[in-house]
Amino acid sequence: MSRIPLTPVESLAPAARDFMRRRGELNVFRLLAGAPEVFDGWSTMVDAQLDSRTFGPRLRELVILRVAYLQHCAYEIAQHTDVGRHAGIGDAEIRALSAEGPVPGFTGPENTVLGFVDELCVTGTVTRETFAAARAVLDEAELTELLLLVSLYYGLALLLNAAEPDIDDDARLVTSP
Amino acid sequence: MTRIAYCTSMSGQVRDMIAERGDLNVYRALAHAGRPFAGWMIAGRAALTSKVVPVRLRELVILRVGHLMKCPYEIAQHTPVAEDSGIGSRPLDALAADGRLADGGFTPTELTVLELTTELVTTATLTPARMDRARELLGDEQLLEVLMIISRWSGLALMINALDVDIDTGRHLSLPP
Repeated sequence: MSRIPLTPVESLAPAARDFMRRRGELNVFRLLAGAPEVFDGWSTMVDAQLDSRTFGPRLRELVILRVAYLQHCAYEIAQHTDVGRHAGIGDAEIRALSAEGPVPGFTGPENTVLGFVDELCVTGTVTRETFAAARAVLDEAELTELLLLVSLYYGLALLLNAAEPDIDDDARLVTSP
Repeated sequence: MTRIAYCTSMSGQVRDMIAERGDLNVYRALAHAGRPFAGWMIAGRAALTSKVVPVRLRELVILRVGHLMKCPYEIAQHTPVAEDSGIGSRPLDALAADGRLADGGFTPTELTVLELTTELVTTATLTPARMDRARELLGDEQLLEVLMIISRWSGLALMINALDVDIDTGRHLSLPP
């Protein structure tokens, strides 16, 4: 049960209501809507990341799920396991993303990106070599967008772990195709 | 030295957003990400202009996050903002990762928030007692905004550390009106 009350959908301001109509009436959004001075800015950021076509949905969801597992965030894991499956991540791959230590079974740029994410989330930074490996498979726009994605879900996991909203029964995050 | 070149080709909208906040190196590095970066700037503007959390408390939290995340850049940019909000050298010293929060001369509310920040950033979770105490002192909206500040600046520290952004010489974070 959420340690901070969730805002009822019917009490939402119009912009927040519109955001949730498009993205889903998720408990995380109803939680954060309790901070109306900053919610619209935050939801604009979420829209911009989820609408971006820089990464395919599969790579985006691999990154989100890995961050969620590293941060032990049951809420993010629950929501993004479904999104990840729809993006073509198989059950064995999803299990692999929960590994302690390096994630087994991925190759090429996916493996490089997951290694970068692991090192960044676990140590708070990356070595010159790890950075160079990521930069070799990502251009500057992709690399900075990867950082924004990790940053969003790493920080959000802290908030979710602190507030502990219930995992949604039916509501599911709507991501762009 | 910053690990990628600063972005020089940005939209007029992004250029204006960066100019409003002081043309800092961190923004010039992340601007490669285009629209997701613009969304992130909009969320940041809301965080920096909301009056729900007093500036002094916001800056205490940001600096504590900067120390815990080992991000000298955040500390360098937010120390002058903190000083402008009346935070003196004794509390600034106490915020260091190896400092003693109890020696900072903080109010009971500030101390509770800083202990919450420390527990959340270092363990990625919060004991129920700490959460309950913070709710009593802050109320739900202010507590949510505190959690969002921790969320944003911990994620930002990862981005800055990964890019190894050079601390600005002669440029200072400018707060939107």
